[in-house]
Amino acid sequence: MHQENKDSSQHITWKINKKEALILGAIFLVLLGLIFWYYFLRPTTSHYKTADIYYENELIESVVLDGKEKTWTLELPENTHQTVDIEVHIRADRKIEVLSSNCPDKICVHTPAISEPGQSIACLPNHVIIKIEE
Amino acid sequence: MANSPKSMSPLNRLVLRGVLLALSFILSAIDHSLPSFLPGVPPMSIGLANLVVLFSLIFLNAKDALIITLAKSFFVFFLRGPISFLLSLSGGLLALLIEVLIWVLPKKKISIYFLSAIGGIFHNVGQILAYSFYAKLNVWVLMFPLALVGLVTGILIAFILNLLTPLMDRWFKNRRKDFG
Repeated sequence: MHQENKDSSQHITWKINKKEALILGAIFLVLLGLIFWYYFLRPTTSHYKTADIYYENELIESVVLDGKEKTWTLELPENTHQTVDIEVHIRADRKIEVLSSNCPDKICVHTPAISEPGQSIACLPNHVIIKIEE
Repeated sequence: MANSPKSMSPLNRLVLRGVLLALSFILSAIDHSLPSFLPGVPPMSIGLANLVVLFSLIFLNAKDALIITLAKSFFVFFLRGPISFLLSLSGGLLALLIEVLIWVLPKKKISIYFLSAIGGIFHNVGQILAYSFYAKLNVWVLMFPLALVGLVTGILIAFILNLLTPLMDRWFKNRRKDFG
């Protein structure tokens, strides 16, 4: 009772061939180049950068990253229905990070400190976003 | 290759699905516990659980792969939180979609390395897309390092699957002899 089964795995080979390796290698190099350009070769300004803190897309605080250490808990302009308990810390090396938060994910706490424009730390359950401007 | 899914008894298939589901939970848990490495990049999943999804695409069928993808996203929801759930769901579904397309559309055979690498890339691309839509942040520049990590992880996964296949062949062949 031999069944002619459609063997789905016959459609895959287990070795890589030249054309595919070339495509993957090209993608790899392009990505590497883009990363290199963005993180190392972009021109940077020499003045201090400012970090803007947004709550529900409204700017609530703007701090200059000038090397002075500072730790504080975010204060909302008017206390809405949800409480936000986020501790922000500016480091001596002019980076800003989130020390603690009352969100369940804690993604904001685990995001590394940011210092360059375009980088951001977001606590989405609390609707808080920290961005760096030029 | 002696691994045709229809030759497995329904009980065997059920057990295999259960084991794969549990394995996807473990890999997802590890995946979402890894720290972030670049400044400004939030800790996102690197796509380890794609191993199980790919395995079930090959040795089971696409429906099982879809169920595993959905289930592991719900697991991440209970383990980590709603944001991780969104990231896992978007990345996993996009990766699965692209993998199925790459599997089905071309006429000739695809190498597992290519399939897994592209799946890994789109897994992370899906995460970035969901993150930027939900947060209304312009985080597209994060796509470059994360796509790279996805590519490398995909190749690693394909390498692991390559090591496992001879064992799987033997396992399936023995099972078929026992259960008919």
